[in-house]
Amino acid sequence: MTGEFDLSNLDRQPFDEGFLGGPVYRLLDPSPDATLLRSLEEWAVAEAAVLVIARVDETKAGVFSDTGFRLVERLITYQRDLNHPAPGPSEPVRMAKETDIDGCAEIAQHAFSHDRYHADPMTKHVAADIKAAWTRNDLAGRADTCFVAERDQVVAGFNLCLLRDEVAVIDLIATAPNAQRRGVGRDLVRAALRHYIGRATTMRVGTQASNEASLALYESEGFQMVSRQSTFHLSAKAISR
Amino acid sequence: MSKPLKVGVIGLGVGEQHAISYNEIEGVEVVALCDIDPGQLTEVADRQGISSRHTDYKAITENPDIDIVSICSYDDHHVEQAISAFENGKHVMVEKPVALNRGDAERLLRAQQDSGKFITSNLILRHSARFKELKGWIDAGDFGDIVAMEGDYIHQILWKLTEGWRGKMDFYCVTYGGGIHLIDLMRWLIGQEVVEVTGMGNQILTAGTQYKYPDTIINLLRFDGGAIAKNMSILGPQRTQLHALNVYGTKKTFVNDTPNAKLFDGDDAANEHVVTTPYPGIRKGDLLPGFIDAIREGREPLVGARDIFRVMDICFAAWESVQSGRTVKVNYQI
Repeated sequence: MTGEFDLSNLDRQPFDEGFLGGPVYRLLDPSPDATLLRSLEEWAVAEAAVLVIARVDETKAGVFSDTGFRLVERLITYQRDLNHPAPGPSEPVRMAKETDIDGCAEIAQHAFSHDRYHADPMTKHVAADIKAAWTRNDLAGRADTCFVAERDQVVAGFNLCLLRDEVAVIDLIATAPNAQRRGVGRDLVRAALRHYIGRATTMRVGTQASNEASLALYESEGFQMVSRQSTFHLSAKAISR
Repeated sequence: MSKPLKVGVIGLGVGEQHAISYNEIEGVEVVALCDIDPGQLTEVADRQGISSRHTDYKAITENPDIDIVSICSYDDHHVEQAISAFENGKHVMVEKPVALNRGDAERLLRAQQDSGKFITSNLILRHSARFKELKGWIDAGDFGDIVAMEGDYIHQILWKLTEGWRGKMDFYCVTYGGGIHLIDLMRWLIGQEVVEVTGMGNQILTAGTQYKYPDTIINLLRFDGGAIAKNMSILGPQRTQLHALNVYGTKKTFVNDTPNAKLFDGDDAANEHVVTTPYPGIRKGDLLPGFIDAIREGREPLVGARDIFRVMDICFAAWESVQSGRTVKVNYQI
């Protein structure tokens, strides 16, 4: 063993491991210092970790510069109080059914491009499959409520929401590539806001700073930015010794 | 925007990181991959989405559409592949060591010089933010004259010798694979040339294994400006990995460690200062953007032919000394 690391600082990621074929960990320390990152790098190399994920507040991201970690995402979290009304969707949005699962998974295969899996050359080959499986899991019961919008009688988008201690979280939301710019995303957000008013106190959603269409949508629907975080990936294979 | 540059990568262990780094540079595209292991070839090419896949390196080096070849194969394949690439007019990045003996190095240098194309190698410590800062201080005269240095490659990777491909090659030298980084770093930091080397090695850590050469080597180097240095390669230390570097000048002393280095400007406790600049902080493909810039601008890269072959000549002299038990003058071919 060349590296030592306090394992209580790491959380295994079995879902990711299923796709990446090796050990995947998430760093739990929200503000690691250089010493910790250094020992984590050494440990990750010794353990041949396929992936180590770290997410920190943007103001604390500087400590990652000049490390083996790669910046893969600037995550912006928005929040909206649910104590005031929201306008309704322009076209009907319905709850998802079991028969929607394949169609939604197909959309998930193609709709995402800004996320950390797509941004990392060591994970991008499985990024579409990860998003599709995630979508299936949410629709199969992980999510609290699943909304589906149609255009021309075909599923054009979905919004899968979790409920955590009176906070409704938009876990995954996507519009089919061929249905974009037709108000599908906005309808799905508004439907969720209407549904959760009275059921939760706030709605929260995370999106990437690079996803400008998404930022504009949330801001125009009354969401306010509550945090800016940076996500980093470390792959043992990428570190030079 | 200059013409897009097309890259082929041979050897997909570290080569995958080369491919990733090239693809992140605007106007550069990795168009073909090669590995002798079809399984590794498929896995990496699928992951990186590259369709042109080969098990014969000549499909890369002789491809007229390719401008740059990265050679990340086993060390004993570097020379023939790099020569083929130069003969076909490519710029070449070769993993270190570029060659395993003087004759091969001379043939490679000749091929490179005849081609008029650039060569670089992954002598990557120069890219570490902490060592760049140190070079800035030395160049500015803050250290005064450099008296002595110690630059050691301390890394527990014995399995690479006992189980990996290095141990299966006809010859391997830990100075060529490990200590070389610190030899390059020290030469670059102080801007002096090594004139003679004395080396000693032993084989205690890997005794009784398939590996048949010294696993630990210490070299002493004398520079033309008067500085002297020690360079150790130890691949089985009972400690965490470190590129140990101590630089003793007439005015200041630098001592590398993790996470922080120390800077001294005297012998009192108050003369000790902490250097927090990140170290090592380098990924495997970090020299490639600079190599691309150099190609586009028609100038020598940060690590160029003179650096690469001079450092190899020091390594050859060091190994000759280990074998002969005598001090060896370095004979530079460039």
